[in-house]
Amino acid sequence: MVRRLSIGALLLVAALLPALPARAWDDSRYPDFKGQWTRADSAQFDPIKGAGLAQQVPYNEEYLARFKAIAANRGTGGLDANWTAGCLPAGMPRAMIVYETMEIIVTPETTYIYLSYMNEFRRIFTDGRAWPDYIEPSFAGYSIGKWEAGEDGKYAVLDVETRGLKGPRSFSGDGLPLHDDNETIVKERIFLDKASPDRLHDEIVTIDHALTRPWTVFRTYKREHNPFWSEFVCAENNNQLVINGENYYLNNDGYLLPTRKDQPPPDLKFFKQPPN
Amino acid sequence: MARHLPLWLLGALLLAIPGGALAHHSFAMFDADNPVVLAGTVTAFKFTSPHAFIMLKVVAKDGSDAVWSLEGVSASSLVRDGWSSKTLKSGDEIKAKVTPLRSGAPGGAWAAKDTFFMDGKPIVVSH
Repeated sequence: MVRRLSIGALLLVAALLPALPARAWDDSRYPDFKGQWTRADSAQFDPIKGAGLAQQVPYNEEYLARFKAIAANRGTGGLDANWTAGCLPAGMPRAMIVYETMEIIVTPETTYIYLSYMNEFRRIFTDGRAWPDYIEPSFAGYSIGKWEAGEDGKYAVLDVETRGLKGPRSFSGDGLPLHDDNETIVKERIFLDKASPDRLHDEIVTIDHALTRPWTVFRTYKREHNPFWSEFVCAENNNQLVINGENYYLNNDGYLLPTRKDQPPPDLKFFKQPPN
Repeated sequence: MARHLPLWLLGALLLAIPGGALAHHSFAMFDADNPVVLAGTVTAFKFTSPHAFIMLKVVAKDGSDAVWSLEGVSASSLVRDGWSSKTLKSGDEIKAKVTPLRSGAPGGAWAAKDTFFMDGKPIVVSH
């Protein structure tokens, strides 16, 4: 009788096994990065400082002069070093300003970060791989990460290094440039606030040949509990047009408007001109 | 001769502009020193990226009219202020404080907080 019951129990368990939910991996080991994150601080790259020169970027002389020239051009209504105006992505590290929304999807081998502004998409490989011999440059870069455990043994901090960047890129909307050689390395520590789990932090260190030393900034994001999942399609209605170094404004009737007084019209030398 | 903004003023202007608006392009082409109040009739409301646009027909004192192309933040930013693609429609009468293009052409930047129906009621009640 006991033997029949034991066999019966085994058969019952075997029959039930396919019905039990399968756990592909134990996500309780990882911090809860789920949901929609939005910026909790300013859109300046260093959120605790003012715009432009007040960012106190540790530029070398060459790039400080470069930025001053950019700022002077902007002062006349120009769009110097404003590559996002042409719908180029912000790229790293500027993408982590998070102008619109951010979603982080953690899997054991890769953490994905989707940034709705310009639809930028980052992959942070956490599978223990080494740096490849060659990285095809991209605006998001190539990122390798490593999880760091907290006091409770669970993963708490994602340490990330990003290389293989493509340009042109700036630190923020005011045109603070990164070096033309695009040899930027970005190091990050991404972690939840211990006191407030709906706050996420990113400590970002930028190493770049435009700088005299690594530049560290600390950014914070907040988790949205009533998210609106937007799309940002820059080409939908972009009205900024740069023609031969001059930027013009395309109004919604399709006409070019000048952006500064006495701005010359575009050179139409390749168009058949009516006789005078 | 183009007017050059001193660097300190440019920095102050950058701080005054909502961060999301700076994401796409510099707003230095707009004259933030000299905002103007426009009153007119919406001819189109484009709830788009990278900027939402209000096309506003404004009739001048002399009876002439011009359609102003007014650029705001992105549609997704406006949603967070309670706006949608149906918030404004052709024929709505509004008044808005805008920062006009430095060139003097009929274009400028608008902000939700400075835009109202003609009777003074807010367009969207923020919570």
